[in-house]
Amino acid sequence: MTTASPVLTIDDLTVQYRARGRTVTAVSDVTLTLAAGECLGLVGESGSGKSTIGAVVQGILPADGSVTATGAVAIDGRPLVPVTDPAWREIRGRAVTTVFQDPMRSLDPTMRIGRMLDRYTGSADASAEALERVQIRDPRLVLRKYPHQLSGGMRQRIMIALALSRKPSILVADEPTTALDVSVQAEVLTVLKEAASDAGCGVIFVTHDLGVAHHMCDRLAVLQRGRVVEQGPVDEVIGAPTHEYTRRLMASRLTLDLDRSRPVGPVDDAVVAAMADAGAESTVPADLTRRWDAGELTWDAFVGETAALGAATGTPPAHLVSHVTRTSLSLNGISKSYRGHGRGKRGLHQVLHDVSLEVGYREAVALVGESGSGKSTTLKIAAGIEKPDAGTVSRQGVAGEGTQVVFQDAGASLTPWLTVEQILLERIEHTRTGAVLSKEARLALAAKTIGLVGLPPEVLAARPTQLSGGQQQRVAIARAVAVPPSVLLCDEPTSALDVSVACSVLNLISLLRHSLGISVLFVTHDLAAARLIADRVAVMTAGRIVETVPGERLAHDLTTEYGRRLVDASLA
Amino acid sequence: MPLSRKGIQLAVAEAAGARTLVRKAPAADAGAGPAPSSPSPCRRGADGSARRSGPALGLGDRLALGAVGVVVVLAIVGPWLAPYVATVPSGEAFLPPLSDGHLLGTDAIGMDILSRVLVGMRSSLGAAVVVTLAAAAFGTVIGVLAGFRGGWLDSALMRVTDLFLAVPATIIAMVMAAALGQTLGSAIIGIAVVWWPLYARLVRGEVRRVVALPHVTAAQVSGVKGWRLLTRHVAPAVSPTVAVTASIDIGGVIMTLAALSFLGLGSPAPTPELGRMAADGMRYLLSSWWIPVMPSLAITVMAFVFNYAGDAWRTLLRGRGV
Repeated sequence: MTTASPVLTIDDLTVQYRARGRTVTAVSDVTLTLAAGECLGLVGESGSGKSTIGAVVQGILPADGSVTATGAVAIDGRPLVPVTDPAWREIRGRAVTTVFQDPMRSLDPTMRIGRMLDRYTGSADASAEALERVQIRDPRLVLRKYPHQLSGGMRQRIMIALALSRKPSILVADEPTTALDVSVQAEVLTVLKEAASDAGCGVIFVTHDLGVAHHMCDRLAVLQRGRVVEQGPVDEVIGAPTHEYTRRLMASRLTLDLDRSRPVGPVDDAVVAAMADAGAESTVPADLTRRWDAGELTWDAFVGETAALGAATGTPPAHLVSHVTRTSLSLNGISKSYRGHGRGKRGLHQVLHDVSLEVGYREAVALVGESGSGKSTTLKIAAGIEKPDAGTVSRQGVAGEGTQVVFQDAGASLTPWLTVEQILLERIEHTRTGAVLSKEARLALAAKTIGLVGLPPEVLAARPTQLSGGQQQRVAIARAVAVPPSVLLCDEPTSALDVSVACSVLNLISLLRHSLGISVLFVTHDLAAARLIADRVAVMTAGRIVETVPGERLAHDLTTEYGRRLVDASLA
Repeated sequence: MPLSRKGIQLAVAEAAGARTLVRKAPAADAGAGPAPSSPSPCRRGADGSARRSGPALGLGDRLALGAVGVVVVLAIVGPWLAPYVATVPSGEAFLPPLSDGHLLGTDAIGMDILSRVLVGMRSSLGAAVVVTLAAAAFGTVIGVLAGFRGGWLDSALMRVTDLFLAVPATIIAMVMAAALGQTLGSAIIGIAVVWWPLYARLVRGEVRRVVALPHVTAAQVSGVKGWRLLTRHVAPAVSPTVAVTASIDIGGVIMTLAALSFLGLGSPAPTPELGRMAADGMRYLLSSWWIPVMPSLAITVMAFVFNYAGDAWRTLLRGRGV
């Protein structure tokens, strides 16, 4: 597949950003070549500089002096010196095209697909052909549509068709399938690979996902903090990684055959030990439980006594509530509609149909589905954020203490102008068991909780914006478990994180669940993460739960067509 | 509104510079440039001052804020700086600027223009600040009620707001002048009555936007509600917007006040009011140009300075919102 003449050579490229007097080196001494018809994968976590290299090739770095780039870049054998000179825009415009992560933002919403394509192909017939090449079944119909009338997968195919219709020598694909559902992802990748290979153009494939890179690329360059730490044919890099960082990335990959009994990914033993230390179990005393079981206590008296106990010892008893029942959360026949366009019944868009789900005491249940399946709505209803149209929710516990939520975007879920300590204290004050604690006990509980989630005590004084994504998610988890809820509701808590960070957050949730004795409802699109966390996995599509299987045997036991499709897509 | 919400969001988004106080790994994606989601630390909270770092004010911003300072100081101490009593003739009539003892000349009856402009600036700015504060305060209360409570209260308050927006300031001021007498106070009330709805709308929109943000939902899930939710999780994101808008609005109010005064709706002569002075001097525009031009220039400079400082205020307050 590799031919002799390189379409792109990068020699000793170094890129530095200047912001507020500080200089950040995004890329240092990177040397790469790309042959016609070849696909080169740039793999790394956020901050590795992979997108910056893509931006250099596209020539979209700001030319205002805030970025300096040194080194040599040649496209089609023509050296571009200096690299950032806007004068090279024209060459790049012809030779380099791009497929971005979010096709909705890169397609002009006011233009029909046909009009966009015709500019490059010249005629409607040629445009239709271009769409056929990206395996769009009814090209004539699609040409008349606007971007918003198409699905994400379709839009990304159109982006690919647009990019290739300009006959580039280099196609930069920057995380092109990250925003897509897993089952669509595989199709789009295949389309991209085949169409680019037919067109004979070189592909720079920027991704954080080693699995996707394996599927797509001929060669891989693994980047860490702006440096290429390993480079070579894809099978060699994936099959026998030589660099420690590559091995760590490989170890962080979530697959359907991981050992569920131990932490995943590269584990920092010291952190695990510290967390286990801080998480020494605190439980409701046996005699209190006995009196409750014997019917000597009313619910209020039970809560009151445990709260008083918490005040005395300075720590609210964990699983205060779930202790006395077998079911922590149950949803019965939940239906929910949202109002879209149109009047009356026609305008209603039903997102949940008669959903029933039970989360047992100390059980972890995962709710798996693709975007639009209704899984997040189910979680919001379980949390009480949304009201169901029909059906009942029963949470065990005091109002507001039965369930807590960990959101997908941890950074956005933490109030930016409050310190971590203020955020934790606020949560503690707003619980029945926390409210009776003294000021000192509350502070101590906040400090203890931060240790419990594996963060150093200095974090207490920081504001959320000063923390990394992984740290933010840990703080969000700390807020949720400072006073342990009976059910922890997690809404895609790891999908915005780098793989290694995601692993550590998954480990943390597993650990807390066992040490605090809380139940978990884990909403995700990632079968492997679901399997890792959950005792039971419920598969959801189009607002219905279609099947529920034990987490351990997920890959074998899923029997519905939809379930199999998810498994196959995850294996690919 | 001189300042759109989008403008403010842009200003906030500009706030760049990832800080790494307790960050273990360089997590900001350098590939995307400075992370737009990391505004500079805000200055609330007991321990915040220790880490306070001043926002990066450019030279233009510093100049603009300096000019605002000069105008404000001049307006406050102006009447004491004034060489003559502003309401009685102090020399020959129609003296041109740079005449002996009369830097900006004298008007048709021999009153010193410099003294009149200095006194007029104070009442102009004072009135503008009063109108802006009153309008911002009242509008904010209405906007918060509507945006935070929602439902029927929202609809009711917003319809009332629309009603007030539809009433022309001039007519209100005329009615007020007829009822309360021809004073600056009537003009102030007239403008404030039509000015608050703009704040009510702005604040309602901002509150609704902020309430829908994930951190507010998260706080609600944590059990925070009502007044505390509003003051602790919503208001800090809204207040910079209101503050920036108000600071820019002062310029607009100065212009509107001057216009009403020009139409004769302020205090009657000989009280020095810039709009009135310009109006009365118009008939001498061709013979003694300085009589109408000097007060007009004062209005222009004041309005310009406050508008120009808008960006600087935004820079100063950025990072406090979300």
